[in-house]
Amino acid sequence: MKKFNCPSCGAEAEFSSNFSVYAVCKYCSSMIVRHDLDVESIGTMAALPEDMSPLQIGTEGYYQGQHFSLVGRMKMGWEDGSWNEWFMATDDGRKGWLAEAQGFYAICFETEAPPLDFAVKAIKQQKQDVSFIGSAHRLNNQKLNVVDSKKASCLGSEGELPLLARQGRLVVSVDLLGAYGEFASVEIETGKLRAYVGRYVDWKEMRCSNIRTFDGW
Amino acid sequence: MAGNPVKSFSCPACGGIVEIHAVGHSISAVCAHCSTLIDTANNNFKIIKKAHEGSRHTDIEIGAKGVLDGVKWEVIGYVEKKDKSSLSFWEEYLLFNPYFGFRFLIQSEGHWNFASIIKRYSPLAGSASELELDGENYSVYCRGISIVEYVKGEFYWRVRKGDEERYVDYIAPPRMLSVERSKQEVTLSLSEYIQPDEVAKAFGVELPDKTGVAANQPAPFAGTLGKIWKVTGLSILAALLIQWNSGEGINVNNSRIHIAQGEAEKTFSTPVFSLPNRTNLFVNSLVPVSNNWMELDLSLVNEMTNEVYRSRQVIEYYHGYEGGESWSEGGQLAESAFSAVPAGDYRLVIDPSPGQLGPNGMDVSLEIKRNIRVWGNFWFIFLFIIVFPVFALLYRWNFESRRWENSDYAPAVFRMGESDE
Repeated sequence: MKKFNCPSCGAEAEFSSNFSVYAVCKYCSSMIVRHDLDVESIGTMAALPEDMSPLQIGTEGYYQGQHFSLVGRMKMGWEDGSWNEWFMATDDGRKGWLAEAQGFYAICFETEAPPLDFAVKAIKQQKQDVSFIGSAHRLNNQKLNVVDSKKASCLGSEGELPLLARQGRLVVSVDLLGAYGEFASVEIETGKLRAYVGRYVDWKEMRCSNIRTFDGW
Repeated sequence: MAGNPVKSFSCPACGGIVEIHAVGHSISAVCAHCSTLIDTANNNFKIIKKAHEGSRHTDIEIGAKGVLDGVKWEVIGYVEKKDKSSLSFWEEYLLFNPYFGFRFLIQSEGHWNFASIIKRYSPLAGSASELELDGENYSVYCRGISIVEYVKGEFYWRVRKGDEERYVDYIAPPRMLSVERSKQEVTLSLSEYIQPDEVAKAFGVELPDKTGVAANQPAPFAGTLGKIWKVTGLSILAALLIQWNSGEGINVNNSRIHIAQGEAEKTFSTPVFSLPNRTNLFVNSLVPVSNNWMELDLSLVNEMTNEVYRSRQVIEYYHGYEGGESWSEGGQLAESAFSAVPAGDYRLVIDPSPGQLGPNGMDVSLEIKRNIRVWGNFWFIFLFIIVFPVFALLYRWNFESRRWENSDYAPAVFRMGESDE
């Protein structure tokens, strides 16, 4: 853990994950970038659009017997809606994300990215050039097929994150699916590829605590 | 925690208030006042399709909450679809729970299914005639194109009247695996048949009666038919064993009586014999008559109670040679049976009435046996054992043929009587 003071309002804060390079101050919404020795404010984050997500910063749960807690969120939007990407701090120190879309949850961890050729095809797909959807790929030794490729932008972020999640940050997001519910996501941002592999999980299976509560639910 | 995030806005067509319940999920909503379809993906609430009609009544209304499978669900959307060619139609209710996500309740002909989208990559889904999922085999039941006929409520996808989708249903009752293919994506969903009563109870509504047999309706005696027949087989085996054990009978008395000439009116008796248990009793008589007859009145007398069981035997044997051929009629043997004779000491009294008595008189040999295996009893028990399993089998058969009546992919055995076109 690394403690620091918000360069904007002075409030005490900390990076709980070693991967975190960016945070949004929960008091003044300053976007804070972590450098080797100090922190820097790069502006203010607008309020996140509301949603009915049962998750929040501080929610804890389990995945394959490993404890995790959610430390940051990036809300992504595209033409047909939005989804949440929750950054997890795990006890085994892996770089994990909990993706939440249309009531489905998938937990995945960063893995070696596919070759650049993948990005080329994904971007061409946006122009309806090639049939990229359905193509088979091997990521982290798992066989997966592309089910979905879309342009998305960051609608906002909160908490701490391993990347600079400014509002309006543009990506091409590719979802892959396996025969037994394996899940992978490849994010392409100006030629850089990041790949995450994991699987879909049930709400009950995660045994979440410190979740949001709603009236009537 | 404070109030729920409810998004509400004024309908851009009629100005009425439209409320979104699955905030962050729903991207299209239908105004409950004027039925205008509105884009809610962002906050500019564009009109997708204008309409000027009130909301139609449905069996379960938007906003209704009910517990299914131990989880509370709110009905937030409703879609009515029809098949493009068969014109059969069905209703899909979209259910939401902020923790468990989305489910569907699907109604067709009064039958209900509870469905979830499943995240599995299945390249053959839709084209194959059999699909395997979690060790279970699903057989194709129907293929078609669905058309959206009516919508109300809110949806996490873009919905609109007239939308077409190719669909293929596979069944493994009580489950059904459906593949829906739109221009954008392939969706797999897994349904399970749910009793209408359960839906009615969950949402506190009255529902129409079901008609016919649904594609994935669980069959009567499903999973038990095999067991029923196993028990039946064992019962028949047990009955056979009991039958076998009852054996060839136990000899209780052999007697030979001699009727001398002039003794035609005499009555004879065997010595007393005892029957240790309730049993049947067989009397076999041999009388060497030749072109002659003999009638024996038999009385089985209980020594203690004097109760009498009666039987009569007629023995006649005629033979000859006529027109170059031998002929014979009748025989020298007779058998009488006394059934269910109680245990006790008995003797058999024989009152013979001979036809003609020669100078040598006539010998009558009697053999009395108890506990003889009677096959008639066995067949009676056999029929008794088999009647229910046969009924169950026929009932099941009938049910399965009704299930496949509406399918173009019925297994060959259920296609009898249909003309090949």
